[in-house]
Amino acid sequence: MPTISGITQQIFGRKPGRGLLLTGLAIILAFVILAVLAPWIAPYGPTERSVPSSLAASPQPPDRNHIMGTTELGYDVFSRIVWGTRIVLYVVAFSAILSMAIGVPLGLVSGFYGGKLDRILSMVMDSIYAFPGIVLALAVASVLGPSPTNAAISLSVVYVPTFFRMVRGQVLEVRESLYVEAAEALGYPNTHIMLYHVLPNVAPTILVVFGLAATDAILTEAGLAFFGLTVSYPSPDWGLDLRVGLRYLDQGAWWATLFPGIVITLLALGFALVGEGLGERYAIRTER
Amino acid sequence: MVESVVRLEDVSVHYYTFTGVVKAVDRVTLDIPRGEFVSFVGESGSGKSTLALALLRLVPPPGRIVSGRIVFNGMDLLSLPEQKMRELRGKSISMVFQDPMTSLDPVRKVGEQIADVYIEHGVTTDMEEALKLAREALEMVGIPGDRVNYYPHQLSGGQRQRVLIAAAVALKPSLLIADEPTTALDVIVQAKIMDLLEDLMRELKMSVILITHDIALAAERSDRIAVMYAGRVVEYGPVDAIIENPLHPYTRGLLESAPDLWGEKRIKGIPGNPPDLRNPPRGCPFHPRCPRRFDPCDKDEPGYVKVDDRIVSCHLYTR
Repeated sequence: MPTISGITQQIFGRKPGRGLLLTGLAIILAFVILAVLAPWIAPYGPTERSVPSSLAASPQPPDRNHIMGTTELGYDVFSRIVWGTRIVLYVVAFSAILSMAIGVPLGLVSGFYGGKLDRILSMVMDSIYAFPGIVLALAVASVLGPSPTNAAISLSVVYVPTFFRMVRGQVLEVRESLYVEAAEALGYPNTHIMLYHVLPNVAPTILVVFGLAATDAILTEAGLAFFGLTVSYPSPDWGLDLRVGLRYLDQGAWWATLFPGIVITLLALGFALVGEGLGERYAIRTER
Repeated sequence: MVESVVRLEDVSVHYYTFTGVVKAVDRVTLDIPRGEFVSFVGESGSGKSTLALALLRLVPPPGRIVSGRIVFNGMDLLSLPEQKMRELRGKSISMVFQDPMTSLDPVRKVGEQIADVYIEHGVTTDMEEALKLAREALEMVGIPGDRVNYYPHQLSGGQRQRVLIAAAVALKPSLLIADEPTTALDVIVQAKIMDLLEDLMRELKMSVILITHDIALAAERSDRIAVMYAGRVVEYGPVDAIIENPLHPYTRGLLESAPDLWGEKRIKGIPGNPPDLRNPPRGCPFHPRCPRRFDPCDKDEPGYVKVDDRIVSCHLYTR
């Protein structure tokens, strides 16, 4: 069993990819803190009119009370970003975990047993994989209807094949290893071999793919939000704020789009760094 | 007549490849007496490893056991349901593989890997108990019991092979198959591992099948030797008789290819190459390379002939 000190050693130990991993984790941790402590960090509520009504008709630039400015309805941009973190993290975590929960077992079974099942599953997954992620997510989300949970489900559809393909590929390799043959010669049932020999040996790959899928999910989530498929305005979501802010860009209100854009990029960067760091540590090729 | 632990009757294993059917094991018939140490020797591709895998019914696709009977303790292994066969593996028939560096799962502690044997074969359901048994098994093969918490990379090649042997004999099987267990190890370690196998054989009253290309090693350790060529057992009998007086020209050739200690002998070798098993030569598969071939060799395949307590497959003795 992994011990606490073993895990800290894994993360903080002087191994390749340490800097990438720690930076990425720090970024993600910062956003998690924002989400959890939103009521205490955000100076205003996400839909609180925070400026005198005489000024409310147009977006106000950043000042002492509104460090990232306000929107046309007088919402504080910084507060909306802080509150929006909750939705974004919920959708991204939900979708990454759901697609992992589906893609990993399928890839494991498919690669291990091979045969007809493997051929059918691979074909299905490849056809899903052939769609551009954002287009597929948009299509599924429009069918399911706008809500954060539905958005998460439609994102999962996009990332299940990513997990499936990577895990299946690794399983094919591990399956040929001598220790699997030795396990067979000791009379172990297939379930034992899959759970105790194959799965632990593909675990690093799963972690890396998780980082990559989450990175991509953040960008795609922003896309869905942009088209109003997660929450409905005026609930806060970065992607949605980006689109609303776009209308006022030609009036010079750069702050209503710039700051949501920055946090989307920053959070995506966090997950990407974790994925890259793990990939470097375990020397896993991540061509997809 | 000695009681046999395994009897092979007419066993053939073919690999169905894209370029043709490879007859890796071709109609092998022989008895392995209980409690004896039997070596299968032959060059690469002679079918000895495939034969070992066939005993466990683990021939990998596209290979298939196409005919024959393998009678183990009175049961025909080839007609057992897969579930039954799986229970026999590791419990009654065990195997130790060639490369100890990669035969252990790198991410699990060696103790757990031995303990698995006890749990999966229903000796105990308690991991603590299984680990205690694993500790004893490790001590039996000469590794301190506290090594249960080591990962494979923390052990040397020889130690890893001992761990694999410990797992293989954990349930006191009646037959242990060792497929080139020492080829990846240096000579000193090789001798120690072979000593260990012999000790365990006596202690647990096992029979051992050793697969090797090293005829000197086989001669030193075994009770009997089976010489394989092109999927056939060409000669099988007690080790002394075979070493002193090889009957089959291939056996003679093999012995003449091994260096002796004093370096007086000229190493001869056998001219030519082993045949393509997709399309073996007509008649005796060895005839194109045989120094003593004569009239029937390229026409009729020699059957098995009993000469004293050996069997040999050669036309020199068919009359």
